[in-house]
Amino acid sequence: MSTATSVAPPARAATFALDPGRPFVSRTFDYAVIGGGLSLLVVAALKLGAEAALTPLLLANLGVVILLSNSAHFAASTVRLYTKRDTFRDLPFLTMGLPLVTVLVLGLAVAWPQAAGLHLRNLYLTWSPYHYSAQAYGLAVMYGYRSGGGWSMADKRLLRLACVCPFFYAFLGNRDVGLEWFVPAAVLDVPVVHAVRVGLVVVLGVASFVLPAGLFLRHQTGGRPRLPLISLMVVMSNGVWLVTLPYMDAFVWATIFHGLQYLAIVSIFHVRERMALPGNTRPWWRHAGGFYLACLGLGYLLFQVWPHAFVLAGFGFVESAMLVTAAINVHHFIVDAYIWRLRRDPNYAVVRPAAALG
Amino acid sequence: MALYRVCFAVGLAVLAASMLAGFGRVLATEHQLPGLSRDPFLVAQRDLAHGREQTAAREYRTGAAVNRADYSIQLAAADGLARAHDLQGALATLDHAETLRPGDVRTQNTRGRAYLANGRLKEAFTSFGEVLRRAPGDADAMAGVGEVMLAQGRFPEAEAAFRRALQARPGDAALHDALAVTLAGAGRHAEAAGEFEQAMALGPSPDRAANLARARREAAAKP
Repeated sequence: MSTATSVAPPARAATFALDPGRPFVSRTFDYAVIGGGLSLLVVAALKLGAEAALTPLLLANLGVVILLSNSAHFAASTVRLYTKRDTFRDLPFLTMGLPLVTVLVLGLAVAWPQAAGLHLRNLYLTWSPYHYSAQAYGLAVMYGYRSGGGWSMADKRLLRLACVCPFFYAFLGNRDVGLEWFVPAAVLDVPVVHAVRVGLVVVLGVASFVLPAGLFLRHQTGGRPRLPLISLMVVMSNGVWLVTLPYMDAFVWATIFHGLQYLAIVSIFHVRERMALPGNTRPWWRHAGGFYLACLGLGYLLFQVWPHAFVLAGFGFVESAMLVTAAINVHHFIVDAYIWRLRRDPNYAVVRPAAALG
Repeated sequence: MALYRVCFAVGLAVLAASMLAGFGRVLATEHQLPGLSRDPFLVAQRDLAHGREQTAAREYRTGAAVNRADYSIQLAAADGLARAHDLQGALATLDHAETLRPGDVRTQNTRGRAYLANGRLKEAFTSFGEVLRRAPGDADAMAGVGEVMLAQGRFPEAEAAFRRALQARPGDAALHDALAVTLAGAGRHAEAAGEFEQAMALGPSPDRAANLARARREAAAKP
């Protein structure tokens, strides 16, 4: 998720006043689900020894939990693409060309799993942390706009830098994907290269938390347009997901909370747009429920049913299941990069404080 | 725009046909709707359970090759390959897993289980022993030692190992089950029945129920 608008920063008095941010739904909901507060509580519980109780509970219900959160979130970008106004006109390749391209790429990958499939999988795993970071940036900026702050390009660049640190951390630190996908092991094993890489991973891990905190303090005390607290929380949560959880073997929690965060914000946009349509008589919950049910249904079809079609065509289940997942991820990343653009887009009406209903 | 419309129609048709085919396949072969599991080795496990070792091994090998970055996938693939009696494949997969998480005891425990599944008891014992040197309280390694002893018919040593493992991880149904099998092997059927009862209470299964019934019969016959 990313945004693109630029407004000149208005002058502000240099006072310290904490801005919690203007919520879309309510302060509790926004902080818990969109801000990632719930995920931070779970991570804290895992760190404090609740892993033995929480992990078996999650594993026992993993299929249902993944369907309700993760699968539905992947489907949500597609449902949003086809339910958003004028997308067939404005985004013809995305709406009409990309599905066929995805099917073709997936077909090639499944047919040659170790030659092509491996790279599709690596692409998805390398891109994934960037997608997480872009979502954090998009949400942080959205809350910034809702708080009424005008942002300079420099402010946005600094915020983006703070958001992409966890991505670069994952890119440099992850095994077999990211940097290791592009650079031969012989080069990475050179002692100097290895030392620089390890050092950068440490620096980026620390920067993932120090940079957003520093930016937040600078905004609070420097008389600049204020970065609301919920924006800081969104960015920090992303840092926790990408930096902390992989080392705890608990990254599945991050995918669940990322999915919840995404489903919440995309549903809010969908509902606000539908409620604003002339002649709308339906209550908000019917729009939200219908949207979520469509996401659930599509998520089930894509992840649970589609792989079996490849098996029927003579391919193995394992490559079908793994590569369908990879293809859906990449499709989601591409679609997501376009459907959240705010400039000259109805999305902006939902973000503007004047349009806020929450 | 006309080309886009054609692409869209073709893409939609392929997707709709794929979904129908996917549903049809699962309904025809499994007589139920596709489940919610996201385990890529679902079919491999089923193949293994039905004795189709070569098919299962092919799935495990492909899974490990496609997803080389995922440590848990590498371990699961190695475990499956070992059970499909492709020990060389399992060991090669574990060598790669070691590069992903150097020093992680789970790799060495899986290596031990791989040797065990292929009857290489000495190497299995060495692997579990290495884990116990690094992590003396590791329940998986203790259980592994117990399995090696059980396979050699050394019931007292196996019992001691499983009891130590249970101290480290109380409430583990599989460990109670293994201890029960050990006690039954030693002819202590009444105690075995007690352990099978605990295993059943923690994780009921048809096999455990059958073993419990048999242990009770044996205990009644030889009090």
